[in-house]
Parts: sequence; C-alpha cells; structure tokens
Amino acid sequence: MKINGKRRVLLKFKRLFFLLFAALVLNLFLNPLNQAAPKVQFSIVYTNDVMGEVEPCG
Amino acid sequence: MKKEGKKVLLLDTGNLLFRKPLLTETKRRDALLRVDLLIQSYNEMGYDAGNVGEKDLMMGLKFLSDVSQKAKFPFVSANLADKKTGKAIFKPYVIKEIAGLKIGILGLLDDQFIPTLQERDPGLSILEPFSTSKALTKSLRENCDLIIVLSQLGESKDMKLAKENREIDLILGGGGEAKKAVMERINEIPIYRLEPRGGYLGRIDYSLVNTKKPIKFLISSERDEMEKRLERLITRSMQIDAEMAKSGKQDEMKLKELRFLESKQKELEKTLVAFEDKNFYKHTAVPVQLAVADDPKIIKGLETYHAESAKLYKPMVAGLPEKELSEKEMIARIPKTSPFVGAISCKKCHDVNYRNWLKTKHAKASQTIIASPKYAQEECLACHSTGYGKIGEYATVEEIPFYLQGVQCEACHGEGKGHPGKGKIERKVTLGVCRNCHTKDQSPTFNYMAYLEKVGCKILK
Repeated sequence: MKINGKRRVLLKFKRLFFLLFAALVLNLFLNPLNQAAPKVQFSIVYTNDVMGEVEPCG
Repeated sequence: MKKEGKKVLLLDTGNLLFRKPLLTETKRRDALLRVDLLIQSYNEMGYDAGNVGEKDLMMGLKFLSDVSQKAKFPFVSANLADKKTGKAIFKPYVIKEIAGLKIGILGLLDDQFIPTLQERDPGLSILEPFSTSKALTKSLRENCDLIIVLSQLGESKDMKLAKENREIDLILGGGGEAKKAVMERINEIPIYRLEPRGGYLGRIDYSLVNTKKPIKFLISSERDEMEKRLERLITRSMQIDAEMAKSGKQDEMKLKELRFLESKQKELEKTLVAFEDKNFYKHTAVPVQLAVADDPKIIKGLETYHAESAKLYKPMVAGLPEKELSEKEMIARIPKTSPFVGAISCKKCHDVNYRNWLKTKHAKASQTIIASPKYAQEECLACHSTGYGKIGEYATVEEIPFYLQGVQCEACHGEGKGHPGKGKIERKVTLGVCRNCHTKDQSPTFNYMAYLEKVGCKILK
C-alpha cells in the first residue's frame, strides 16, 4: 500500500511536470522571443524657428 | 529629461538667432545681448546639434562662426558651402549615438536665399538641397541606423524632399513662410514642425523592438488617431491644472472634467499597449509655458538680459506731451490719412464704452510693457498697441503715436476711418480676432466669454 502511494505521488509529479513544460512551450509559441527582449527607447526633442516672426495683431 | 537619465537627443532646426534686419544701432546691440542669452541657455539645456537658418546668417558668416565657437553644440549645414571650393562651411552632418543606435543628423538651407546671402557674403554659396541630401544620405545610411534632416526648406520643399529621398527617416522642418505646425507623413517619412517662437517643444518618443537595419516602423492610421486624441486630452489636462494653479482655487467643475479626462487617457493608453510589439514613434507638441519648469540659471540669464536691454532703450514715457492735451486737441492731432482714428474719437458716440474701456487692461496694454523690462522686445508691441504693422512699425513704446497706445477699440473692431457710414468696423468681436494675440502659448488660460466680460465694451447694468 505504501509503495502504491509513493508511486501515485510520483505519477502526479510527472503529470504536473509535463503540464508545466507544455504550458511553457505554449507560452513561448504564443509570445515570440522578441517581445520579451528589452525595447530600445529614446526621445528626440526639437525646436524650430525660435526667433520666427508672428503675424502682427489687429 | 536628461537629468532624469532619459535618453534624449535635443535638436534645433535653425532660425535661432535673429528675427528681422537690425536697422538701428540700438536694435543691433539688443540683438547681440539676446544671442548671448540664447547660446548660454542652449548650452545649459545640452543641445546636441543645431541647423543653420537663413536668419542666423543675418549678421554675416564671421559673426555666426564666432557664435558657433561659444556654442557647446555643433551647427550643421550640408549645403552652405564655400563658393570657390564647394566644401561645406560648417559640419555637413553629425552622428550621435543613443541607446546603442547611430543617428545621422544633417542640416539643409533653402537655396532660394542665394541673392541676399551673396550680397552679404559673396564667398558663400548654397548648394541645391535635394541632390546634396541624396548624396549624403546614401553614404550616411551605411553607418547610421536612422537619418534625421534638420530642414530650413519650408513646408512644400520638405514634402518634396520626402518624396525624392527615401533614405531619410525623419524631417524636422522650419523656415519658409508657414506659421503653422506641421504633422505630415510622405512615403512613410514623418515631417514635423512647430509653430514659430519657441512656445512648444516637439517630442518624439521612439520604442523599438527590432533594430535590424533598415529600421521599419508600424504605420497605422488607427494608432495615429488615438495618439492625436491622447495628445488633446493631455494638453487640456495641463490647461486645467494651470488654470487652477493660477486661481489658487479647487473648482469642482474643473476637477470633475480633470477626472473625466484622466479616465479617458487611461482607456486610450490601455488600447495603445496592443501596438507595443512593433517599432513605433509618438509625436507630442509640448507647451513650454505649461509643461516645462523654469530653470533658475536660465531665468537669471534672462533677467540679466532684460536689465541690460532696458538700459539700451532709456524710456522717456513719462514725458509724453499728449497727456496734457484736451480731447479736441488730441483728435486734431490724429493724421487725416490714418485709417485708425483712436479711441478718443470713438468716445464722441460711445462714451460709456470708452469709460469702461479706460478701466481695462487693454487700455494700459502699452504701459504694461514699460512696467516690465521686457518692453524692449519689439515683438511685444504687435499685441500691446493698436494697428502695429499697418501704419508703420515702431520699435519702442515711446514711438507709438498716442492714438494707437494700448489695445484700443480699433484693435478688435477694425479701422474706424469712415465710420459711421462706410468704414470697416465690426460690431461683434469673434474668437478668431482675440486669438490673434491670445494665442495658446501667450495666453494659455484664455476663455473667450470670460475675457470678453473683462474688456469693458459690454455696458454693465
């Protein structure tokens, strides 16, 4: 009885491991590797015609 | 942003130093003070490159070369060349490294400017910008991940450039006649420019998941539309914040609007996340007055400039003889040829309106420039007097004829000559008329109905 119980636990672990592995493969398949890769982020800040003319009022 | 450790390239597309020809010695000296202030401020902000604009050459090449020595950033121009050798006077381009990418930045100047340039500097030449840029971008493409053109060609030529040169990744425009902001995309090349006068900063945030050359971006009109809506929401939120900060009150209606805008903003941002697995960029025009904190060093420099500039002009406004004149004498002194007749003439029939107007800020608009040392800045007079640019330009407050001082009736209602009867008087002052001066950057808290109440024309019961 004791051996059967141990086997059952072992089988449960095997099944769990298999399920986890399958989930991992599925996850990688659905989310390509490049998405997990760090993004390159930067900004360009600009000004133009800082001394440009405006239309006279009135 | 730089202080926060963000990766930023700070660029100027040109026309930084001067506005219009400097006709008097006082204006020349004032402009030199301003150039010093601008370069000192740009150094402080950490600009990475600046393009040469037509107006930057107003005092000649020698002057600009001297200025460029004081600048801690390079001036670039690919087509401003030595007439004899054909070689570029300034660096034609610079390559900046940011976030592991190499960005090639080149400057272009409009070759239509040749005649005036050669009058001033006969040894200079402006090469044809389209072929010059084509040759340069071809070689830059080998070394650079992205190529940016800082252009002073004007809007239509920027579009032509995008049509003819597909090596370019971004055109930041300026120059030409256009006074409006531009957000275009030709051949998938974005073209951006802001309204002139530095009221806005343009910010383009890049997010790349794939940096393999050539770098391609997601172009989606759906995404563009969402970006635009998001930008409008953010700008309105900033306006409300500024209005509440100015009044010092927590207005319930405004708080409600703010909460609504924030919830909409979050919704849009959530939707935009769906696009994040692609290379994309996002452009925002940031209103400087509302969104950028003053830097103490630059403010100090500005105060010094104002003080020095004020000394040059030596105002003598207190001695205006017109103050002592009777109404009749004043009206007699208004030139018969002038299309403007002055508020004093309107008083004959609109006495109550005139007396109301006298109590308003409009009536004192010229004096407010004198009260501030900034009065020396000629451009202020366009909105702080009446008829500026239509009957002669004046450089200082003391030069304004008495019947044009302040924002008088005719500044909003039109020229009074011939009224009543003929004339160009408009009874109703539209929002568009107010917006000539109460622009988003000059008057961010402007509200048409509320401000109309303040100007005194409405007869109070």
